[in-house]
Formats: sequence, structure tokens, C-alpha cells
Amino acid sequence: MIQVRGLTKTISTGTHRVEILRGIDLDIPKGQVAAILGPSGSGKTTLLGLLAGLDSPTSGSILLDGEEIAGLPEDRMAELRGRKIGFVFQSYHLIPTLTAEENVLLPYELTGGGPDGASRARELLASVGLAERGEHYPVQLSGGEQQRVALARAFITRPPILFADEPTGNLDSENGSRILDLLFDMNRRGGSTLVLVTHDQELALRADRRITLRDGRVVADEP
Amino acid sequence: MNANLSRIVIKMIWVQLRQSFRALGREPGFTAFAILTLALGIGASTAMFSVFHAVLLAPVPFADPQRVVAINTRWTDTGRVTIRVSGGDYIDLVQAHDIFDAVGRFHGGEVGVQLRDRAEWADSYWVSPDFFRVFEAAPLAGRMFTAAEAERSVVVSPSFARRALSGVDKAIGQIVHIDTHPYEVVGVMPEGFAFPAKAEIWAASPQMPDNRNRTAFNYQAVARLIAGVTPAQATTRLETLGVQLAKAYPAENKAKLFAAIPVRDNVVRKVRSTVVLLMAAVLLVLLISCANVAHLLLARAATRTREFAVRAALGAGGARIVAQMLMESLALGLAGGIAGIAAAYGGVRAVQWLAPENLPRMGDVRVDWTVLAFGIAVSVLSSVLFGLAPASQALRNDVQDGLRASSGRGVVGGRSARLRNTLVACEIALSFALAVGAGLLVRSFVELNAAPLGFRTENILVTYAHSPANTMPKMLASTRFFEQALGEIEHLPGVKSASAAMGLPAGRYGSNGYYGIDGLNVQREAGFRLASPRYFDTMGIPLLRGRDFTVADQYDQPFVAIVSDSLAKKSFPNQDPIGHKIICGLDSDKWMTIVGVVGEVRSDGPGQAPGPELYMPFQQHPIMANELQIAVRTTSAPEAMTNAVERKIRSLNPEIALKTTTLSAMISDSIATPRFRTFLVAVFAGVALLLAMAGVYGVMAYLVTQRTAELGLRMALGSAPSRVVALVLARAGTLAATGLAGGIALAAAGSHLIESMLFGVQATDAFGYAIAACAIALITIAAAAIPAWRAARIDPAVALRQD
Ligand SMILES: Nc1ncnc2c1ncn2[C@@H]1O[C@H](COP(=O)(O)OP(=O)(O)O)[C@@H](O)[C@H]1O
Ligand SMILES: [Mg+2]
Repeated sequence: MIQVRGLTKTISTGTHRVEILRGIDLDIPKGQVAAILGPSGSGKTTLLGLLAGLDSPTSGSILLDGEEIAGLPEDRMAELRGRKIGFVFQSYHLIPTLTAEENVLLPYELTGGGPDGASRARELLASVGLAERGEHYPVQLSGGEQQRVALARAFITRPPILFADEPTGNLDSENGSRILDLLFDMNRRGGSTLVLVTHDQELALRADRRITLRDGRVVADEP
Repeated sequence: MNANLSRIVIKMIWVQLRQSFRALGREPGFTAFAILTLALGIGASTAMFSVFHAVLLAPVPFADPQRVVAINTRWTDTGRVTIRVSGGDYIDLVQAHDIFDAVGRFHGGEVGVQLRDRAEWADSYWVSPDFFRVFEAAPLAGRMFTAAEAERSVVVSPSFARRALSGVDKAIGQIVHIDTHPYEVVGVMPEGFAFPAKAEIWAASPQMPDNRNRTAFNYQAVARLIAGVTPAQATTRLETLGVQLAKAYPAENKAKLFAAIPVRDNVVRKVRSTVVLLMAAVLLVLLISCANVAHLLLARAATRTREFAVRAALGAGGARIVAQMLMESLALGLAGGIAGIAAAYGGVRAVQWLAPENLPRMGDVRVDWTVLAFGIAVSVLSSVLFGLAPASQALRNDVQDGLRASSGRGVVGGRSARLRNTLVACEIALSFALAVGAGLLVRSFVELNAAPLGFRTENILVTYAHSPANTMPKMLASTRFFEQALGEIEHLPGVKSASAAMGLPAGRYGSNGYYGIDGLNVQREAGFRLASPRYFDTMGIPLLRGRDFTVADQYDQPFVAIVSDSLAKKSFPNQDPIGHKIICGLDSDKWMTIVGVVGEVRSDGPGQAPGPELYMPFQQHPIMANELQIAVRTTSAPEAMTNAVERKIRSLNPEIALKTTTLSAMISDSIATPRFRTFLVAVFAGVALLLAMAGVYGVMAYLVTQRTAELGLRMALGSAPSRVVALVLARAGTLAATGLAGGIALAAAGSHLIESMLFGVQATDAFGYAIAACAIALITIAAAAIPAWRAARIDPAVALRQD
């Protein structure tokens, strides 16, 4: 359950003050798949970052399962991210010096997961169709393959909430829809909440709900 | 190469250099740091090289210096070497006309010289008539003496002429007295002639030595080799002679050989190891500064992958890119070199100021053309050294990869990173080795200062006094004079007690030789010293048994002696030595009755273990007693009593040459060389550690900058900032550990360099290693702290924004 009240984010760069989010109120119930839509620059990434605790709001509150995260100290925040949140980035963000399997394992190790990590990582890689590529480094993988590794990575800690920021933005449509299939499939099996940013209307139709942003405000919220 | 082509090449180099300087000017922080680092390394090594050059390499300032040799005596059974020869052997050596053009002999040292109105100490040597022929030296004024003028004429240095004889022009024809004996000044030597070092008076002595026995090593010999004869060939020839002499005089010359050593090597033999050590240490510092700049340039090259790729894509060949990189490092090297050479001028001053007085040839140290050439060569060489790595890196870059450098798939830069890590690990290893050396030397110096001397050093004024005397009645009169002087000094306000000795600990004079006991032919070696009543009391040397000397122990009374505890234990085990008889060859063959036993004393300074000593009353040995050290125990700062004591002695006899110091200054002087090298090595180690710290900092800061995205991602995935800090520190720790492993090996391999300089501590001492390891740990943490802190503050939201 995600509850957002009066969320604003303002950034001052020298002489300029940019109001990126101008008061957002949202409730996303547990298990829902929500798509966030909106033109480029409307504040989608910023909102996602705030929800995931990667950034702190200028004002307003964010409750994750009833726990206020706005203004948490960074150490607590990091711990919470490791425990509750999974993330899929537009540009994959695999660590180039680690193999695919090691990349998948990374959050598990960061949060001090148990001994079954390696087998679970292999399982997840298999489920995204990369069983044979565990030993490969990111440079040896195509963009779609890299994003599939990133998906496996996002699920390894069984996060109750998953965020994905334009996960298909850097991919062609064929690879993109394969990624989304996997994402929805894995999410359904894990029963987690999924917040997905996209500007592909078609893809958004597959979500339970579509929230549209413009100039930092929610302009539409439809089932 | 024809003139036209070379002009084009020079022009190209010039254009490249100018571009390089401009490129460096655009990054003032990087440039300033690199130049500073290089200036430190080049400056220190240039300054040290000027010492190395002047002391160990520069030819002695004589005609055909390679032909001037000193003749040493060596015992094949014990390996002992002395720079002296005996009178008997000298007479035979002189006959080796097939290798020597000229052979000269000298002996002497600082003596009291009586001038018209006063007496002074001056370094005076009695030299044979051929002495100057060895150096092919000619006088500045007047003439040299001839063989017929023995004990009648002297030649003096220009400084002595100015100080004591109212100038070089007025010196000729004047009379100076040494031990009341008159000598006429017949010549003045030129300014640069300084052999033996600091000599002011050369007095004529006979062609052949007075003392012709073969077991007393009273003389030093120098020779000019015949053109074409090397010192090694001369030594071979002298060894043949030595074997012949051993047959002819089996008792005295058994196992005794002679060697011809280049006179420079002979003069500097005691400081060679110190100067070599310091040079080696400073070259390590230079290497570290090169490594530092190299990895800085590597990091810079890595951030310029894209620039090189674009240049290559536009058609710049590999050679051109390498040339550009080398030009940039050359520009840095030259700038660093100029700053370093400027710093070397100051460094030379500092080293001269720090160097102990007795370090030979220090006065000749200067930044001359040779040193400048060294500085420039070092700058250029180190430019190539630190420029090679980034240049080869630039060459290796793949154009495609470079152009893609900032796309998601990125370049890992593994090779460049490994090279940088290796360089910094090397820096750590080198600075660790230096720190171990410094740690050991410091520990050794502390031990040296803490060594129990066996006497007190505080509040003791020491006046060297020479009373001229050359006949027995005059010598006896001298002893009476000293007795009287001591009595009067003791009554001066501020004086607790006054005494005199020949052979004060850490002093310039002393004698040693064999002694026998109770008519037995047991011969053992001991130091021979003369002492006045209350000497032991004044010096705080405990009287363990028996009695002190008294005024009753006069020349015409039964001869007595006091022995040190170790002599008593060695020669009279389980017996009371008091009442036993002892004899030595100092100046008389009378048996002496042992009347006392005193505590052990480190006579040759803190660095030498105490040994057996034989003390005799100075009144009973007048031949040796006209030159004494008066030791005065004062109630407060002894220096303040200098004038009072000197004035008192002069008022009794104006012909006494006086020179005053303090016992603590003498002790301090006796460890001046260890202090000098300890200080310098510690400074070099400190600089090395600072440079290594800068190196670690550079690598870690670069690592954090390069991995900002990754570290941000890690935090986005749930890693706490403390874990990121740990990650950075762990990397620094790995670096330090790698460096330490290399450093331990390096330090162990280099330990023989300082083994002989250590006192009271082993070259393998764990303490030195532990201290150095702590230093490395400290600088690593200090250097990694800021990058680690910066890593912890990376905003995890960067993961959202970077593409
Ligand atoms: N750190 C920042 N400084 C200044 N402006 C920013 C910053 N981050 C985002 N913005 C601006 O805020 C607006 C919203 O950005 P973003 O949330 O990335 O939009 P979206 O993801 O919807 O394209 C954009 O106009 C962007 O330029
Ligand atoms: Mg966005």
C-alpha cells in the first residue's frame, strides 16, 4: 500500500526555481499494477524516485505500508529500499565488472540474504530465458538481454513493491513487449505492487490503472 | 639528418610542446600538483646528488688526481685495515721506484702554536720533503722547503697566514713556535690545497722517519703513481713487497700487506656508506614522485579516451598520439625539473647546514654544471618514465570503444586501472621500505642517546689546553703548571670541581695498546688514559674499590694506576686487583701498582661498547701530559664559564693554546653522523609517505568519480552508505596490503644497506616494520577518507538520471 499526500518537489538551480511536482495525492493498494503516463518532462521519473525513496520531497508525505519515508535518514532509507523495493531502470544499469549472475545477486548480498542466493539467481535467470548466460559480462549481452538480467535482479529480494521507469524505452518493440510480458508475469506470481512509467499507451492498457501527469500534476487517473 | 629536416623536426617539437603547456595550463590544479610532486623528487635528488658528486665522485683537486694514492696497511689474518704505515715499512715502500714517481709521509694533527702575542690551536702536520711532489703542488707565495730544512721550516695555508701572520705577503720569513721549537715560514700554499683536510701548517720533517720500528703505526703515506700504473697494479706490486718483508721480518711483518688506495676513497671511506644510503633513499623518493605523476597522467588519459578516439577518427596516427602524450609529460617534467633544480639550491644549503663538521669534502658541495646536467637528465628521464604508461595506454585505445565511451555499454578501463593500482602499490612498497629504514635508524638513534655512558655529561666544561714543552724539565714544569691551574680554577665561583685528563671520552685524543700484569707475559689491549686527582669525581665515574689519584702521586714517587672494572675482571678474575702490578708501553717501562678500580666508560662515544681502560696519574707521565683536557664541573650552564676558565689559565701562562667546549657538545658531535643520516632518511621517508598518500588519494578519488554511477546504483538497490564507505576503504586496504607485501620484501632486501649503521637494534627488528606498517595504514586511511566520505554522499537518484 502506497499513500501519497500533498507531495511537492522543487529544485533550485542558482537563479532558477523549478517546481517539478506541484502537489500529488495518490493511493496505490497492495498488488495493484499502476502505469504512470505523461509527456517527457512532466515529472514521472521524479515521482518514481520519491516513491522509491531515492530522493526526498520538498513537502508532503509518503507512506509505504503505513511507514513514513519522507525525511528518513539515508541509512534507514537504504535498508528500507533493500527490504521493500525493487527497481528496473530505463538503461538497465548493470555493473560492468560483474557477471550477469553476480549482477542478479547484488541486491541479495547488499541486504545480507541467505545462502540460497546463487540457486535463486540461476532460477531467475532461467525464468527470463538466460540460463546459459550467467557467466557473461554485460558487454557481452544485447540491450534486451541486459534488461532481462535487470528484471531478474529486481525480483531477487522478492520485493513487495516494484518500480520500473520506462523499462522498454531503450528497446525495440519486439524486445520491449517480451520484457513487459516477463515483468507482468513475474509480478503476478510474486503478488507485488508494480508502479510502471511508460509513454506507450498500448502497454499502459495492460495495467490495472493509468495515472497521467502533466506539469507536475495528476491530470487523469482512470481504471 | 640535413639541416632543413632537423629544423622542421625542431619546429614540430616546439609546436607540440607549446600545445602541451597550453593544455596543462587549462588544468591548473592537476598541473600544480604534478609539478609540485616532481619538484620534490627532482629537487631532493638533485640536492643529494650534489653531495654524492662532491664527496664521492669529484676528483681531488690535484694534478692527475687518479695518480694520487694513499698507502694502507692490511692484516691478512684479521682483515683489519689501517690508513697508517709504520716507519720501518715506509722506508721500504719508498724504494718502489717502478710504480711511484714520488712518495710522501705525514703525521700530526691539531697542536698548540705559539705566535708573537698569543697561542692558538692549528692543524699542523710534519711532512717529508717529497710530500708536495706527490700532489705536484706549488706555493702561492715563497717556496717549498728542501730536504735540508727538517724541523726548521714550515709552509702555511693562506687562511693561517691571514689569521696569524698579518697576511700572505707578510708571512714569509716570520717565525712560529710549535712546542717552543721555532720554525721559519718559507711559503704559503694556494687556497685550494687542503690535504690533509683543514691543514694549516706543514712542517718540514726528515726524508726518512725517526721511528723506524715496524709495529708502531705512526705515519700516513701518500704517493704519486707513475703514469699508466693503476692503483690496482700498484697494490699488486706492493703485495709482492709485503710478502718479501714478511720473509725478512717474520716477527713483525707476518700477515701484513700494503695497498694503494685512490686518495679520494681513503678520505671518504667512513662516510661512503652514509652518502650512498642517502642517495639511494632520495632516488626512491624520486621514483615515488614519478609513479605519482604517472598514475595521475593515466587517470587523466582515461578521462580523455573520447578525445583520443575523436583525434584518431580524424586521422591522427598512433605515433602522433604517443608523441603528444610524451610531449605533455616532457612539458611537465621540464617544469618540475626547473622548480626542482631551484629547490635543490636551497636543499644543498640545508644539507650543508645539517651535515656534521667532520663529513669530508662537504665544503665543495655546490650546484655546478655536473649537478645541473644531472637535474636536467633526471627531469627528462623521469618524464619518459612517467609518460610511457599513459602514452602506451593512449595507443591501445580502440577508436570504436572510445567513441562509445559514454554509452551504456561503456569501457571498463581494466588495464589502465590495474596499471594505476600497480603504480600506487609500488609507491606504497617504496615508501614502506624507506619508512622501515627511517624507523630503524630513529630507533637506533634513540638507543644511542639512551646508552649508559658511565659518566655524567651535564654541566661539564672541557678546555683543550696545550702547554708548549719539548724537554723533560719543561714537561715536568708543564705538569706542575696544570696542577696549579686546576687548583685555581677550582676556586673560581661557579666551579664545583676541576680536573684534567688525556683521553676524555668522545674526545680527540686517546691512546691504546697492550698491557702486562705481575711480570706475566699476558698481553691484552686497553685504552690508556691520564687523569688528575678528582677526575673520576668530576666526571661522575664511580670509584668501585681502592683510592683515587692524589697530589702525592708525583713523578719521583712510586708509579700507580687505576683500572676499569672490565680490565680488573679480565685480568684478575676472582681476585682483588688492588696491589697488583701492571705495565704498558705508553711512555715508560716502569711497573705501576694498581690502587683503584673505576666504573666502565664508553670512551669512544655512545656508539662503542665500553672496554678495558688503564688510567695513570698525569704527573707520572709528563711526556704525554703537556696536552690535556681540563674538565670543569660547574654549578650552572658550563658555557658561561668559558671566559673565566680561559682567562685564569692565560693569566698563569699566556703561551697555552686553549679551545673550549662542553662535554655534552662533544657527545653530541660524536653522534653527529648518525643524527645527520637519521634525520635525512626520516625526512625522505616522510616525503615518500606524503607522496604515497597523495597517490592513494588520487586513485581512490578517481575510483569514486569513475564509479559514481555504480555506487549510486548500489545505494539505490539498498546498500547503506556505510557499506559504500567500507567498499572504498576495502579497496584502499587491498592496495595498501599489496604495497606492504612488496615493501616488506624490498625492506628485507635492502636491510644490508643500513645493517652496519644500526646500534642496539637488528636490521630485521619487528619494531621498525611495525612502525612503518602503522604509518602506511594511517596514510591509507587518511588518503581514502575523503573519497570514501564523498562516496557515502552520492545521491542514489543518479541511478535514475544517468544513461
Ligand atoms: N536535478 C534537476 N535539476 C533541474 N531540473 C530537473 C532536475 N531533475 C529533473 N528536472 C526537471 O524536472 C522536470 C521533470 O523531470 P522528470 O521527472 O525526469 O520528467 P520525466 O521523467 O517525466 O521526463 C524536467 O523538466 C526536468 O528537466
Ligand atoms: Mg523520465
